[in-house]
Formats: sequence, C-alpha cells, structure tokens
Amino acid sequence: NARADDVDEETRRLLTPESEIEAGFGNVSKDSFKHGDFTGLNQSGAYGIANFSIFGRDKDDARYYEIIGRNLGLDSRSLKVEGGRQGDFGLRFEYSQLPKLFTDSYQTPFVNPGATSLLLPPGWVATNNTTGMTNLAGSMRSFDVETTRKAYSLGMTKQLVAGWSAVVDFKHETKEGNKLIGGVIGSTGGNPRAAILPEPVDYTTDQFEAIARYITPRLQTEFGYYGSFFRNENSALAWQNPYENIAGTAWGNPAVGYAGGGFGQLSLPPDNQFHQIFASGGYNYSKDTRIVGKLSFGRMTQNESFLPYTVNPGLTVTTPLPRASLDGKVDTTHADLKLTSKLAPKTNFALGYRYDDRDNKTPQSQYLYIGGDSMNQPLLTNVGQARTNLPGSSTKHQVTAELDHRLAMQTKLKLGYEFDRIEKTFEAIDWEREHTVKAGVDHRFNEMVGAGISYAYSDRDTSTYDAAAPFLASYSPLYWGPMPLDQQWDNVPTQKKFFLAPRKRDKLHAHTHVSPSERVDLQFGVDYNNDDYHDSYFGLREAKGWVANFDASLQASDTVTGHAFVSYEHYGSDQRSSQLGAVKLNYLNPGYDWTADITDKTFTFGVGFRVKPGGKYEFGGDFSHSYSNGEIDVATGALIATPATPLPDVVSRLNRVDLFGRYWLQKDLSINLKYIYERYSSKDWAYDEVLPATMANVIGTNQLSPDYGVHVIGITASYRFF
Amino acid sequence: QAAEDKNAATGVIYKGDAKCTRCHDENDNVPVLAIAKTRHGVAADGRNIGCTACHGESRLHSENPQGLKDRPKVDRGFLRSSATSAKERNEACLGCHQGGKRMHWAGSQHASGDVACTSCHQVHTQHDKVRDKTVQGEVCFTCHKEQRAQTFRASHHPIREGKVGCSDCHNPHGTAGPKLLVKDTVVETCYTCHAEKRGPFLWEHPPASDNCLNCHTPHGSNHASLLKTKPPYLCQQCHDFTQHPGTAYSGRGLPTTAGGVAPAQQQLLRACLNCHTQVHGTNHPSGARATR
Repeated sequence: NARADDVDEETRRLLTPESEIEAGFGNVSKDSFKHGDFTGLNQSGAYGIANFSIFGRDKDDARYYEIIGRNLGLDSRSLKVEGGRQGDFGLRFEYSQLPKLFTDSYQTPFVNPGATSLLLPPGWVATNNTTGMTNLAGSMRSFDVETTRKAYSLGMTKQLVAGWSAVVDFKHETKEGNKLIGGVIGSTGGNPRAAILPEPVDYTTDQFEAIARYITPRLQTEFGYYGSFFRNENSALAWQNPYENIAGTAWGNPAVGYAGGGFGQLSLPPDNQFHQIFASGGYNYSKDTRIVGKLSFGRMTQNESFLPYTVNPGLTVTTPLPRASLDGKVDTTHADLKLTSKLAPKTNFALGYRYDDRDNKTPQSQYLYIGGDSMNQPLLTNVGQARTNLPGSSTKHQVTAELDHRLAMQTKLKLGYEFDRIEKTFEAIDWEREHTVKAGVDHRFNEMVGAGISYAYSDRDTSTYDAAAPFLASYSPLYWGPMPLDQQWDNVPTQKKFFLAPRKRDKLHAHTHVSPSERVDLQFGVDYNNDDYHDSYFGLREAKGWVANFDASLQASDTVTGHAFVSYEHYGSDQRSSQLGAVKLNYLNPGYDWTADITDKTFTFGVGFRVKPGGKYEFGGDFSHSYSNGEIDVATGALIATPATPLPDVVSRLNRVDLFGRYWLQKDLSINLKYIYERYSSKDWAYDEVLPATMANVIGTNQLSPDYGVHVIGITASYRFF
Repeated sequence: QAAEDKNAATGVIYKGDAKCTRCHDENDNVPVLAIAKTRHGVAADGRNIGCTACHGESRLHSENPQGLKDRPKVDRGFLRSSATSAKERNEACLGCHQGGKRMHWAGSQHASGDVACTSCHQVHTQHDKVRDKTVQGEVCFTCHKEQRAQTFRASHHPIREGKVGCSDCHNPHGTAGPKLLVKDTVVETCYTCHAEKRGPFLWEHPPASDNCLNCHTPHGSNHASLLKTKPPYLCQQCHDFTQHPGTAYSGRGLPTTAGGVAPAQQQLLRACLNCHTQVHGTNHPSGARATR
C-alpha cells in the first residue's frame, strides 16, 4: 500500500502483522490417560505437530482475516477462521475439540460397555453378593472411559446505521463417549446391590444468541435472545442384573434376578430447552454519574416421556404413572440496576440492586415408585414409596452500596455494605437474609512499595429451621401421619444444611508489592476465610482456610527474564453427625455423635526463565510442582460400637519440566525443540486396593490411582512471514 | 528527504502521525509502531484517528518548549510508571468501547479496584495475550494467584491446558451476574457447557438446581469432579438419618488389605454415589431417592 511502500523492509515488518506456520513431529514416551487428559497426549509414540496463525490486514479498506490452527495433530485441535471489514462487518467460524479422559484402568464384567443395554458374559454366576460370584474376577474386562467434545461456532457482527449494530452467534457442540455412573438394583430394606457402569454419552447442545445494540456516547443499549437446546440420544441405561436372591425385596420373583432375565434401568439426562430474552442499558447522566442495568426473562422446559416405573415386566404395577411426561417448566427473571457517581472529587459511590427469581411451574403429582427395579409396587396406603415431587422456587434480592475515598493520591479507603434476602419453597427454611460490611485500604508508600488490606464480615440468619418441611411435603400423610410427632422427619432435626444455615463469615485479604527497581517485582498476599455455622449442632459446623502467595519476576538484563511463584493453601472443615442406627431419637444422645475434621493442604511452586538475545537463538524453561494432601480425621462417640480407625491421606504430587529452544536457520525460518517431563503420583483410599469383590454389594472396578512419568519431545520447523 | 516529507503528510500509520513517529520509530525503545499490526493501527477504519486519540494532544511532550532534559510525559500515559490514573486511562478506551461487553464496567469489581484496561490488555502489540484463550490465564493469574495454584490440582477445568479461558465463564469488564459471571446466575453460566444438568427434573436435588457451587469448586480441587470435599463426608454435611446416612465412615471401611475391617459400599469408589448416582436430579418416576 502507499504508506508501506515508502518504508524499508525492516519498518515494513514492524508495521505488518506477522504470520507463522509450524510443522513437525513429537513423541510421547508412555501411555497415560491422566497425562493426556484435555491435551490428547495420552498415547505413546509419534504424533504430528501442526500449528499456524495467519493474519492479513488491508490498510486501505480495513479488510482483515485471521486463520489460527492449533494442536492439529492431537485430539485437542482447534481452528478459527475470521474475517471482515473493520467498522463494517465480521464473520467467524471456530472448531474446537476437547478430550476428557476419565480412566483407562476401569474394568467391568459387562461384555458390551458403551451400549445402552449392558449384558453379562455367558455362564455368569449370580449370587446375592460379590463374594459368591465365582467368575467375577475372571470376567473383568478393560474399558477406556472418555468423552470428546466437538464444538462448531459461527459468529457474525454487522455495523448498521446510526449507532446500531447486530451480533449473531451460533454454537453446535457434541459430547460423545462414556463416563461412569452407579447402577443400583434393590434399594429398600438395606439391601442395595450395585455396579459401576459406563454411561453412554451422546449429547448435542445448540446455543443461539442474537443481539441488537444501539450505542451513543451517552446511551448504550442492547436487546437480545439466547436459546439453548440440549438433546441426548439416549434416554435410559439398562443393565443385566448381576445379583440373585436378595432378601427383603421381591427377589423371589423370577423376573427380577439374573436367572429370570432381570434388568436394572436408570434414566439419562432428558432433552431440555432454555429460552431467554434480555435487554441491557447504560446511561451517562453526567461525566461522573452512570446508571446501568439489565432485565432478562427466561424459561427452562423439559418434557421427555417418562420411563416406566420399572424395566422388569414381571413386577407388579397396580398404579399407573400420574402423567406421561413432566411438563417441567421454570421461569427465570433477572433485574439489576447500578448507579455509580462521583460524590466529591475524591469520593466515588456505587449503589446497586439485583433481583433473581426462579419460579418453578412444574406440576406436582404423586408417584408410587418401585425400589431399584426389584420390588413390586406397594399399595397406595401407608408407604414411603408414595412421593410427591417438590418443584422448588426461589427469589433473591441483593442491595449493595460501596464508597471509596482517596485520602491522598497514595491512599484509598473503601467501605461497602451488602444485604441479601432469599426466599425459598419446599426447603427447611422459608427465607434467609445476610448483612455484609466491608472495609479496605490501599496505600502506596513510595514508588517502590505498596500494600493493601481488606476485611469483610457477613452475618446470615434464617427463618426457623424446619428440617421436616420437605419430608412432610413429599411423603404421603398416610405414611408419616401415624409416626410419633417427634419422629416425623427424614433428616435429623438439629442438622442444618450448610447452604441454608445461619452463618458468620470473615474474609481477610492483605497484599503488598515491592519493586526495588524497574527490573524486579515482588508480590506477597494472604487470604483468610472463615465460615462459622454457629447454629448447626449437626452438619457442617465450620469451614476455614488461608492461602499465602508469593510471586517474583526479574528482568536480569534486556535479554534474560525470570519468574517464580509459591502458593500454599490450607483449607479445613469440621462436621458432626449422629450415628442413629435404627433408632431415630438416638440423635438426642451425644454418645452417638461423631465428627470429621477434614484438611486439604496444597503447596504449589513454579519457576521459569526466558533468554532472548535477539540473535540466532532463544530458549527458556519452566519447572512446576504441586503437592496436595488431604487428611480426614473421624472421631466417634462413646456409644458407637464400631469406633473409628484412622484413614490414610489422599495425596497427589505433580512435577513438571518444560523446556523450549528456537534456532533461526534463516531470517524467517527456525527450528524449534520442545521437551516436557511430567511426573505424577497419587494415592486415594477410595480406589486403591478395591478389587471386584472387595465390597459385598458393589462390584468393584479395579481402578488405580494415576501414577506416571511421561517424556514428550517435539521438533518442528516454523516459518514466519509478513 | 522526499520520503520523510511524504511521511509527514501521510503518516507512517495514521495521517499526520509524523510528530510522534519522527521520534518513536523503529529504533525507539518504546515499540509503538507495532500498533500497525493491530486493529487500532488500521487508518482506513475511520474510527482510528491516531496516537493523540488515546494519548492526548501532548504538546508539552512533543514540543518540549522548555527544552527539558527529561521531556514531559504525554498527556495520558499507560505505562505502569505513568501518573495517569486508572480512570483517566480507561476513559480513553471507553470512549469507543463503552457498550456491549463493557456495558457494566462502571462500579464493577475491577473498576472499583482501579484496574486499568491496559493492566490486562496490550495495545501496541499484535498478540494481546489476554484475548488468547491459550495464554489468557497467565494474565489473570498475575493477580488471581489462588486460582493459578488450583489449576494444578488433580481435578481442574482445562485452563492450564488452554482449552477453557477465564473469559469463558467470567466477563472481566463487569456483568449483571455474580462474580463477573457471563450469565445472570451461577447455574446459567455452568449450563452453557453442562446443559444436561439443567432439567427441570422430576426429582430435583435442591442445592444443585440452586447453585452448583454448593458442592463444587470451579477452578481446581483435590477431589474428583471438582468437589469441595470427598464423599461420603460432603453428602453427610447435609444428610443424616437412620442407618447408613449417619454412619461414621473411617479406616474401618477400607479394603481389608488396606487395614479395613468391613469394606464399606457407602465409602469406597464413588461412596454415596455408588447408588445415589443422580445427584443433579433425575427424570425417572422411581428416582425419588436419586438412585435411578
């Protein structure tokens, strides 16, 4: 173009977008699902490396394009193609793939994992627990549990006349593969029998958004529609019953057990939709006063046909389903308004209100459920299986006020207040309200040193906690009516669910940064959080944590930089329960109390450097370390006949080295080397040493805690152009 | 000389930018010319009117009438050492970028924290890191260090792997929702990727339909599925009834080879979720106990 023609080649390079194409190959030393989770680097052997980023800008008519491809040789590949004319229109297409690798050590006796109707091998020996399944261990077969997301996006922007513009986005995403789910047969009378099953995943989610915007210097508005449409190709997962002859249910019915061809069946996520219209606006009343807000109305719907009460036709079903599908409907309303203003030259003020309403209009009916595809349907008189669904609604109000005042250029004070009120239906409380006060100060001591501290205190109280309210609303009065008044509950009355319980909360944050020179920057920060559920005798009673962070960055010279960080987090929670056994009122006797003190400690450390002399080569590297340790300390009361014994810690340890180097063969052609070594080890008592027949009533999976050391090396050539 | 005169009239990047580019050229240690690689450096887009649009007329800086050795700064500077306040810096950006995703900037967490647009964005470079999902986290983590450490944990969203950006869930410019979330509520934000958990379900699990963060922590956890605490203890924080919901699970419930006495089906593998697997809700008519 005219201007670029007048400048020399070096200046042209400074003025023209740089594009680059990189290609080569890499090698992974070892198979590891955990290492390849999200990246696709899970298989040993060679893989192709291909990345490119190509940019063009026409300075004469403002047309542009971008084509970016990444990880094209891996299952985590992505591609973006974008173009248009600045100030006029833009078009965008994106593709992105994401592998989620759950486990490659899972094993199952079912011969067709991945199917929606799982079958046992011929000659299966079914008994009433895993110990008697003589061919269980020999029947276990490996199955990789993984899903892949593939997302296709289309976007368009268009400037229209007189401040108007339009934005349209569409995203089509599929998720296919398998994840794990528990399948249970027989669930009443303390006789559940389960297996961990591969759940087939075949989801499609389409999202569409269209927005019209009107923007002037003083007024900005937008109006839009957002729709989300979820489809699941599978409505149910069935599996052949591996068990036989369990007491307490209808196991005598030959249609239920393994020999009679019995199955279990659970429902998979139903198709659903969400539609929302919204409008936002911002108005600058004056240079220092602005008001902004949003209003949205949404509707979630779900109306997939119900599965039958049981998949086993041999079981007695006397009462039909009250309806063929749910006709589930939830209306959502959101409104917010915020006013910000400069009250005085050094004082700013913000006042906000937010409203969120979830109005669940799903119809209620009574369902006479069948326990675990293994019981005959009871008579509708006095049983716990007669249950009414509880479509919960909530309304949330929030008022916020913030004031900041600059004492001097170096010191800023902040004060804040927040009030929250939430109303709920079908819960143990009708409402909760919370007051929060906040204060903070930031001070810059001099050019080199600054610091700040802030504190927030919240106090939440609630309406009278009635643990029995959801129980009484869902179960039949014919069931709970004959119970003694003080036993009409299905959750201990003095246990408060933490998200509904009175709570006092402290949050403290302190930080400092020091820059002794232009080339050195040090930061240190501490956070402390304490949630005190002071009115909960049982349940979560306290959750407390603190985090310390240290960061350093160093520019040793014009060509050498370094950075380091250290982070330590300590999070602990205390909870108390009552081991009632079969006697409800045992909860009143502290001898049956037990507690769990849970502590998670994580130490994370990273250090890295970059050397860019500006000549023929550059190189750099990073080392990362993360160590997590989870302790669970259970203590039991004097009347608990089986005293607690210690649990081992849950541990994970990650060490990773990343090195890279680039050598310029020619001005725009370079050879690049990359090397990664990742060592990961973990211990988890929930999986370690759990064999197929370890638990009498759940078929184990032979899964192992991830433990690997993987080297990845890559060599590529890259060419850049302008 | 001829080329120099032509540049003075037409400019290297913008019309009439010579008063800036005569000093800030390719040899300058402040690499301003790279703006020509970006959208802001396209003069044909009539909205890009030149250096002074953002930096102010800056006559004292360009003319230095007093001939000071340390030339006065530009009217509006964006380097960390600049005396220009965050609010004044941001006015330069908001003059054009006030609507759309920046609608709720005023009074937002970052605005009241004196964060400048240029605290996160780099304007004079082709590659603005914070707008690239694969490296965006590096920018956010310079302040949000706790979240950086959490991405190294056993269970995490693919942030460190570059497949999910902070901005997939948060809009740092301010939103109508809590925690700068892109949607109006926590659940609406999570449903953009996890729509299968939206329902509405016949049998709801109230804390799940109310707020995913009752049980999950979003950036990284030591427990599978980003759970706050390991089941069965997480579940027992709310559920205590006769028989197994109230049982104290401990080392007794481990495999006998690991020192256990009676391996507990409510404690090992997925713990409560071995049977009560439908914790997000279910549409099965027999699923009142979240088992089906």
